[in-house]
Amino acid sequence: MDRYEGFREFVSARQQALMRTAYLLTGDAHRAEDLLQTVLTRIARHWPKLAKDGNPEAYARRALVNEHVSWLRRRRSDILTSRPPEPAYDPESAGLHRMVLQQVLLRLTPRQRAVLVLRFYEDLSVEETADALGCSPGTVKSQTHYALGRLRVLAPELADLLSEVDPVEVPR
Amino acid sequence: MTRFRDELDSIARQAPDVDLAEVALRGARRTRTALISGSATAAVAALTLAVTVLINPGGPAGVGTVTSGTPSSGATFHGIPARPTPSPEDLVPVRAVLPASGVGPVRYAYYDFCQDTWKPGEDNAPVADETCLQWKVVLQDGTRYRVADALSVYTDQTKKNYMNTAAPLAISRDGRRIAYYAPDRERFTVRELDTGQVWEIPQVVRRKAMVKGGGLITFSPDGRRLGLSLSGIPQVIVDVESGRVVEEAPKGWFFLNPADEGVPTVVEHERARFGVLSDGKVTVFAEPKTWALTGAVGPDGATVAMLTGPTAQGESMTNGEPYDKVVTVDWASGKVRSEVKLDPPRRLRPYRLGSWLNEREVLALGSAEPDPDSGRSPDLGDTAYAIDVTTGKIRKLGDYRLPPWGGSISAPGFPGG
Repeated sequence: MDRYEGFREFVSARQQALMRTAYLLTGDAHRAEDLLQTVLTRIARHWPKLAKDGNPEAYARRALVNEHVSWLRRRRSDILTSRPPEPAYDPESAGLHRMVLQQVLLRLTPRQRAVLVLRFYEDLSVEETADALGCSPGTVKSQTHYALGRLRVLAPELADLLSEVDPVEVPR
Repeated sequence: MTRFRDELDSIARQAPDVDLAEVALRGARRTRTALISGSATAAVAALTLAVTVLINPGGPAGVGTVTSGTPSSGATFHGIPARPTPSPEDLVPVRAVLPASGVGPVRYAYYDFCQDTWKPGEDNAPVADETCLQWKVVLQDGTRYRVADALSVYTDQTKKNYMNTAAPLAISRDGRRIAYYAPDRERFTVRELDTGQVWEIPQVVRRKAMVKGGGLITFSPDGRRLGLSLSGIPQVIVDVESGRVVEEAPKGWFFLNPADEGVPTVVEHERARFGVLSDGKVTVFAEPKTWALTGAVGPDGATVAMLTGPTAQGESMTNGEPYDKVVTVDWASGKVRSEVKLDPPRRLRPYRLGSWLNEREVLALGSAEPDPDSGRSPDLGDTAYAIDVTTGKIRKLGDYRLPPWGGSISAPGFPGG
């Protein structure tokens, strides 16, 4: 029996969704591909166990985040000085938000970025995000708050966009 | 579902398609093989190392003899930064022709030359082919197409006239429309990339005049108007869909950023005067004594932003003397509303001011910002900035990269290069 039976089907079905998450985490297509390849290789190594009694997709998502944070720790100077991705220059309102958001996401810490991606792109609950990141739900909440606050400071024009996910308290 | 989620999704969709199953499997199999044979390999490696040390106790010749900063014969001259390493996608010839419809927004466009086969000031028609001397558009997902029916580099140059390089191609602010010169019709064409709708601008512009004098074309912010700033014909703003001329600049005045309907267009006189054009009449609002750059009228309908520098009009202005202040002026009264120093001025080398990003920030386009610590020359291309007119703070928005042998960039919302 092929120990990798079902792996190709899993990758074929889920790799594009995982690639998009990797792209949001890294902000760079080449780095995203490297990241996903590393994670998929690890999944292939553990495939018999994951296929039998695991959740390969949840494992992949967790591994993407952890591997990405780990890369940044190891290669911090390289990452921070590399050329930023060329944002879509689409100064119509929606396109502008996207362009600005793409830029400022890269100025968050890796964990803050991961929290936003998991909570608001992957639509995970606080508890699921905490599980993926290996931290407490309280940490997820505080990291979310800090990340959105930092986005507001870095890009005031995103205030409207952000108020939908985190309304700012207005003093009465 | 929130707009924030939608924006994240839009960014995520820029990720390229991948097919990683086989690569991952090969990696996994290699690791497994290495683990299985690991102990045997380690034993062989240890034996090999021992033999090497016995044969060559000094170590391999050359290794460890070069120390950083130590002069040696044939020393590297560090004054010349390393050439930028081209990105792999820049080295792939672009052969695919822009499809007639169903194409997403354009991020930017460029044209390029044919490496060493291009000879400035000569008839280069023989070297032109489908992969060079053509405008290429880069879509948001990185896909590149050549615009086969657009004139780009003038192959019919002469030694007397070799600085006017190419016919312009402009991109609307939303990236959904492009305008370019169609040499067979000797007119400008506007294409809507998604629907495939094509409009021809009625003004005839002779190719000979283009090669001789050149010019710029720019969309209004909403993409409905196209401004023609060309030598040899009147400076006009044309409604794209009807072909009707909606504004014409008086003699001696020209514009770079045509405005939407109902908004006056900022114009500049050949003799360093700035004004706004509305219904054929110019209202002068500034006659600066030093070099200055203007953009468009702001969202309040009253304010124009300008960049000013220390160099007097008539004196040579080089890249070493950049604009150092951002000034806002009420165009109706000519009164200065605010004036702040650019922060930090040396990071910005603008050559265009564009429309307003929001109520405080103006778009600017400049040359790529060099990184003094990188030890390498900067990538060629342009950089988009946002300048806060209330604080002078400058935000870099992104780069438009030119490939090797690239000619010029055209960025959405700015005059076509």
